[in-house]
Amino acid sequence: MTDWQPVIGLEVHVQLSTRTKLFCDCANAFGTLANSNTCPICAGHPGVLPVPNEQALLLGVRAALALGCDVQPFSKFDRKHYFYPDLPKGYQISQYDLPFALNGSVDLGDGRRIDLERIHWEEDAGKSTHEAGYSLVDLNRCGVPLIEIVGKPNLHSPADAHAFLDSLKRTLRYATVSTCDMEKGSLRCDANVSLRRTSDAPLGTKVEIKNVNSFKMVERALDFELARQAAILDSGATVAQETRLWDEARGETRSMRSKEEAMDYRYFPEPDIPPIELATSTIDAQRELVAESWQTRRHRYESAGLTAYDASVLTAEPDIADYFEATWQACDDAKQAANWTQTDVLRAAGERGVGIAELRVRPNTLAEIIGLVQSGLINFAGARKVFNRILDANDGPCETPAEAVVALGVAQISDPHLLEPIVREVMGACEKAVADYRKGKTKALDALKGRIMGKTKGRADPAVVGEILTRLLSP
Amino acid sequence: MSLPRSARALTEAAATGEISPLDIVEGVLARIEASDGEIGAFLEVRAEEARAHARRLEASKDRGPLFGVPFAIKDNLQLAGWPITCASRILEGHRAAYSATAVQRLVDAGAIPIGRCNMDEFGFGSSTEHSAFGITRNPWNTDRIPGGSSGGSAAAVASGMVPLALGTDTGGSIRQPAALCGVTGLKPTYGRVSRFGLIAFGSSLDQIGPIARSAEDCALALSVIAGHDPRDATSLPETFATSDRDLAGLRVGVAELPASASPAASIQARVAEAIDTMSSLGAEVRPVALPHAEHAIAAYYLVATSEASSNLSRFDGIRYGNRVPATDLRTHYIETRSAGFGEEAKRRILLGGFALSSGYYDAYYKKALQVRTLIRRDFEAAFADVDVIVGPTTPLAAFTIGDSIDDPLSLWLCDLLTTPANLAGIPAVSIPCGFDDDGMPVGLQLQGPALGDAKLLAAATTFQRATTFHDQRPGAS
Amino acid sequence: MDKPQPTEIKVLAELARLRLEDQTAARIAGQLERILDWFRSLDAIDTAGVEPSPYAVVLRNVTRPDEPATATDDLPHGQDILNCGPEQTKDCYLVPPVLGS
Repeated sequence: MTDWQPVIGLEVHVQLSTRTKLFCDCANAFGTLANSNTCPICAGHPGVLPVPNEQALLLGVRAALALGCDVQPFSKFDRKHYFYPDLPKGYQISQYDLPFALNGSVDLGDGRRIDLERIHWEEDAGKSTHEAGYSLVDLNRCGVPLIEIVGKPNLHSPADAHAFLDSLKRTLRYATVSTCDMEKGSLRCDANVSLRRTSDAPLGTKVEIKNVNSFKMVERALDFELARQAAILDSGATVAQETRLWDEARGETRSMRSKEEAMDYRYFPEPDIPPIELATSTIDAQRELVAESWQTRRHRYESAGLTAYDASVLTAEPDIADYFEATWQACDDAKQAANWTQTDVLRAAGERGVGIAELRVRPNTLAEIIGLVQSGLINFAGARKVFNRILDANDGPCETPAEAVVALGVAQISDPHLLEPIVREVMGACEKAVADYRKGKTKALDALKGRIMGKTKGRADPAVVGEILTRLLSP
Repeated sequence: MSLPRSARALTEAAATGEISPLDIVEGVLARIEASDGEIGAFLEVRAEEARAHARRLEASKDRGPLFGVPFAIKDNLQLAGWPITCASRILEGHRAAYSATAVQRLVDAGAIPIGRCNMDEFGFGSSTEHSAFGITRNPWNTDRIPGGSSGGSAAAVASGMVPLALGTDTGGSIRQPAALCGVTGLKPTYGRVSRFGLIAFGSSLDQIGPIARSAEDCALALSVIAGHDPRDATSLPETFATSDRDLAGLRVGVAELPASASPAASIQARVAEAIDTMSSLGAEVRPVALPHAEHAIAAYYLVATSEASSNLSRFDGIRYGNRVPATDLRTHYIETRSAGFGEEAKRRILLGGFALSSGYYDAYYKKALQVRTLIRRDFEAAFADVDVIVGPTTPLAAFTIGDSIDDPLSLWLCDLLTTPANLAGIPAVSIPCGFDDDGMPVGLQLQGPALGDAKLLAAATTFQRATTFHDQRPGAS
Repeated sequence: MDKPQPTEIKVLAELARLRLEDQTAARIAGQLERILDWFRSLDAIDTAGVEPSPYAVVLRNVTRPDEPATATDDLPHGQDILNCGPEQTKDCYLVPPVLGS
């Protein structure tokens, strides 16, 4: 088996987070009922005309700026023609030779950048469902605003393709242009894949893979396709230029159409939409709205003493990073803010199925709880009880953490005069543990501590308890 | 009862209560009953709805500017709930889901929709012979064509069945049938009238306009249908106001006609007489040059067929219209579209698809758009020197039915004089200026600069106040 | 080769989803050949450096605000649109399968 170099280029479609569709005022959101979110315009009735949604255009510009693209002062829409039942007009309104953004790159976060070709605006199509003997068409999604991001074929492994998509998703979520939820279809990806013998050899025959619906599947589909192509090339045969669909159930790609059946899209300028000229002031206003990139934040967090792993988890989503940062600012303890955000805060949001921004414990409150621990008023176990109590409080005026400490009775017992009798009592009851410790089994100390915490219902100050134990146990 | 013939006189009589909207509708229905069997201007007359509409108007307090004026609608303009076909089998049975802005504005102004007019399928023709539902005859001579594609609308007005009809003009489809039927037809400045609800033929060329007995009535109708529409991104922000400027001191340009136009001698004579009349009314006649005019027709047909091939893609028998049962998707498309479109539509779809296909785009479509730029510049230069440009609307008067149906190219060449205005987006009106040797009407075309609609109509109105051609009626009615 | 041959007419027809019998294809190819010859008369015009005009208006940046349809909106929505279709089932438009049985 020869070694081949994979060459992968991704084309990513991203739904923009607008209130309405690209060319009509139907909502850019839909429930479960098919064909309930349509009007004559998005359903392509005769005589309708498209009027572009200003916010969709601006979100596209913001995305382009977040990716470092050159936003073009002049661009236009074009019609792209093909027949399919979920494309109501028989053409898609897209951009051809004058896209609104060129160049730019996706920063993988490890020092590598993957260059982009272009970004353009276009409308989404509907959905077809294929049943035995017929197909069903739902037009709810028709006309949802998209940007198509075309990457250069500069990726060389499925893992890098995954890293590209992960970075792209973070960047676009930070710029608040899209939810980029691949499972829900707000980010979709087609891949161009080929193999070549060496990194300076000419590109091999390219196969386009469609219908990959999750980040996990991108790697699996690419692994499958690269192995398929390598097997063909190893056998001395040639790879056919074609479009292949990823079949998730079977874990394989299969042919959809060959080059011979390739389309002639007959692009021409959309006469119903006058051209778009983006003024410098318009572009600058969007630049203002592009948040600090996730890469920059990650570096900043690492400089503040967090591990690379922590910094990565905290920057996965802008909401998480924002929550962490607000907590950090308010309590001035990056490590504690990071620990809480990554554990209790994320778990609480996950269990409740809500966004972290919707939790009742706001960063300021969390910072107060951390402050109570720092000042010794409560210990970590008590802090966790306070956190959960505020989290689950009913609507109404919020208890402060200090009030919760009183209500829960979790104020820490730090006075050695109060704790020493309890420590002596536990030592008396646990002779074996005491003996073990004195024989050198330091682990026995934990058992003793546990008993003492139990006796105090978790309120004992662990540090003071440790000091007393060490003193009393020492020979 | 004898109804006033003009829209203005009708609405004045209705507004003062001299005559009721229901009387008007009954009068119109009686005329249609008497004439349309022979003419075939209407695809459908919606008599009961018109009567109900008239009764509602009588009961309401509103007196819009077109109160009680009955009007006919070219069958490519939608009115919610009405059938709409574009004279094509592919839309047979479809009812419009919404109303065209222009139609709705007429209704809101108190006008009464009467019925749907015949046309060439999707506007593809200049004779109304390319309708899937039968031909329309010229009221001046029922062996002759009425012109097209708004042939039904022009014939309905010319025969006195209705005082007002809406047409659409992509390359002359209002002006040419108006000329051939001896009525007044206006193609407004592109963007003046919203195209929302007009079933597109050539999106960058199409414009809705009125066909009536006089330029004054056209101005009245335009003042209602013009104006910005947020549902049409190509709709202009400027408002329209009528003008009463007369011909005194108006600079009237006369361009040398392209050699290939060669109008019939009697047409040239009528046009020359009309120019003399304008001169006697105080106009300053001077020559202008439109050096690229003769190329307009080729450029026009490239742009128009390219856009049409695209616009007709949506007719697939899935969301509306007719379908042919099939066992697979490809067959469904092919059988549905092959059965639904007539031959001229197919020819244009193929031609447009060719002009847009990779490898030919630059040589055909892009070249045509560059020539379009030159034609627009010609007009801009000419209108620096003159206020209007006059000439014949068509090189020939109405020909005999069936004469040219098998020769698409020679029929297309008849649009030579009307297509430049569509390419440039400027307004143009055709008014009657006499008859040829066979007694068929001759049209005079006045073209103006973009947004010069009011001045154009004022000039035409002055001409019509001094002449009686527009008051002549065919014996048939 | 700039003129469509009968075989190419068939490709164009396929792209447009139209059926042409051989005889019709040949006839239309002949007509189109004449028309294209005539179109090539434009070659005589010097258009070097001339911007194409795909639009009839000089408007720019015509957009609408990102506001959902209101109750007073007069366009039909949802079910009324679906009901215009010739065949529906399960709230969807029914179409033949991509591949026949």
